[in-house]
Amino acid sequence: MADAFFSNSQIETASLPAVEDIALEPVSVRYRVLNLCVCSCVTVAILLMLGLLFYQPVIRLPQNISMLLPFAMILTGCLGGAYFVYHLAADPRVRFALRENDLVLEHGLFFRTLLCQPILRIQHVELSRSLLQRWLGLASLKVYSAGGAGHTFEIPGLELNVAQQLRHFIVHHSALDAR
Amino acid sequence: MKDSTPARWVRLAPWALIYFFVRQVKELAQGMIYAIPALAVSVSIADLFNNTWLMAGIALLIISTVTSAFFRFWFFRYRVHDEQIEIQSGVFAKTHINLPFWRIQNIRIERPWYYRLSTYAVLIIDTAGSATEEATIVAIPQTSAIALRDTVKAQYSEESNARSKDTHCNIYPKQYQDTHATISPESHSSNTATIISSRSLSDLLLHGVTNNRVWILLGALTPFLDDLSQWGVNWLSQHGIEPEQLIQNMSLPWWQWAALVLTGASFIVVLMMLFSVCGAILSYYGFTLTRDNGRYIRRSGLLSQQEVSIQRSRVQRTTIRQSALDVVVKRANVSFEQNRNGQRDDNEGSAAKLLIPSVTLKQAASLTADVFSRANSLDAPFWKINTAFLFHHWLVRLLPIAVAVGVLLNARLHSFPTTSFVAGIILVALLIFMRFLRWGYALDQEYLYIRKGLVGKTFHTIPLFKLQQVSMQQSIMMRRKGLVHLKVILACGAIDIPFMAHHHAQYIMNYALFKCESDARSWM
Repeated sequence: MADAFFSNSQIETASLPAVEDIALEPVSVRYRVLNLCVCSCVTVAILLMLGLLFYQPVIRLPQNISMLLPFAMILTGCLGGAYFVYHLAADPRVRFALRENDLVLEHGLFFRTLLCQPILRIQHVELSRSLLQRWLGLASLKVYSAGGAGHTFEIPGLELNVAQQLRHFIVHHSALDAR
Repeated sequence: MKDSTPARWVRLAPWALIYFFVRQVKELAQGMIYAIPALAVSVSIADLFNNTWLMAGIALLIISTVTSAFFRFWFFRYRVHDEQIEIQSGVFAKTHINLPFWRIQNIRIERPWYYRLSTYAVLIIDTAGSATEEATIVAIPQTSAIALRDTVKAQYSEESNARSKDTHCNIYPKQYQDTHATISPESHSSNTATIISSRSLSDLLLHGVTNNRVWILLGALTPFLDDLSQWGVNWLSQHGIEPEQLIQNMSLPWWQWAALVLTGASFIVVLMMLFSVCGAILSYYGFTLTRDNGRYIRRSGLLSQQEVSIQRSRVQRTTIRQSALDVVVKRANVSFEQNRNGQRDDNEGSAAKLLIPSVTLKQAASLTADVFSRANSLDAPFWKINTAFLFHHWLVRLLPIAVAVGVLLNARLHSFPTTSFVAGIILVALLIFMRFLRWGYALDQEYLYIRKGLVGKTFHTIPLFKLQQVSMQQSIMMRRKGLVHLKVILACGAIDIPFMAHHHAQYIMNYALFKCESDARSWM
């Protein structure tokens, strides 16, 4: 096989399988719902706590802290709002694809990132599900390579059955046996 | 091989006691180093010596160190059988390491200076797993260590022969394999070890001078120079010497003073160079790089002799690095980098990296071609990155920082140092420009070449089939201009190429994936 390849000294760009031509599919809609709910709940909880602290008659707060509390509430509201808007716009842009020999993931709103993980280089696969993800029937697929912990390939917000199918496909891929 | 074959547990030679003691003292010193400034501030030395409790404490510390070293020695056993190494250690927390030969990535044999009078050596075994799985056999007869290493090597080469022929050289016709005829006259298939590089004392002198790490220390000290000089003056006056009076009394003409200061400064520089040169000689004395059955072995060291070996097929990337002074004297350091995951440190002695110091550019090219056949990183036709790099760094990074610093300085200082401020900004802008000029990338059938640097130069050679992951990133502005950042991830780390043409990045990404996925060769 190597001989056949190396006798072919020039490779046409057009003949290479191109990552940009792949039809990527979005992750579950519930992923966005989950993120928006978490974001709203956390923001509201912090705002409530700060509000209670501000209006409660039991403990007398030092002057400077009670002056800062409204600013902290405004800041929390702004940050929570920004986070909400970000997820609203960015989550539908998390898209993935499975090819014969690799996994592709695209994500990001301001900085679009297109990641590609060859299946041949996968060391191990992990399905991770938090409590909330379990309630919503979601799972994250984590794929580890020798690229290191900082470069773990993770597809978030997959439907559980899709994640399991992907995992099954990777685990039983012939390329992994060859290694 | 007497010690490496039996299935019974073997205890270490008594010489290991010294090793454990030294290690214990080192660990203690590392722990104590944070307490020293606090101690120094609060107590004077005279008080320390008069304090019986403290002396008793120190005595207890010494006794406990010796006892702990003894227990560590006593509970350490190892055995080699069934193609695996087993080590039992630990006093309270027992550890049992079981290392099959096939999982061993590297075997290093080290001889610390205190082992020089004995026939023992320290055997360090690295695995591809995490750092905690590194195993050390502390005092093993040198002949046994070498025999064990050869057994593991033989096992590996059998395995890799069975898997495929050699990872790199067999895909090319014979005449291309030894493009490095000047330094490696023998062929790869030869069973005898071939010395492919050795460094003379003059090379090491040059390495010491051109790779002077003391400059970094000096740079880090710059903000404290004022305090240091003040401390120096105070110290002198405590001992009855008043520098200011000295200057007035001597009433030397200004040019003599200038000469004196210059001499002082050159003395410090020469002293630092001397330190650096001594460091280079200590680490690299008697340096030889040998290739033995697809394995590179580096031996060096004046006091502590070190032996690092790397399987040729496991080299993930080669790097030719020239410091600013190296560019002038046309020398370079070559390093072969392998899987970095699980390695504890990234210094030159670590097995993750095999460094060949101060070679000529021709030798550097030959060494690279020795690992990766037909690689030609120095003369590759490099593409430049886009000028957007310049504008991004000048306008988005430098300008806001310059404005912020300017506003701060203006508010804090009575007279704004306009000239030095502007000169500083121009210097940084120039450095960014130089960085831009150095950036380059090139691609051939097998390798991706990357050139970068500031004043010095760095050339990376990346075999595309060893790719672990690849990614492209672009901001909204970059999308409009058709630019991307490309990130190539290997087992030895990631490399970014910023602001490159989108169609180039796409081509490299697709081609690298094709090479990686269509090539049956293993990355290990």
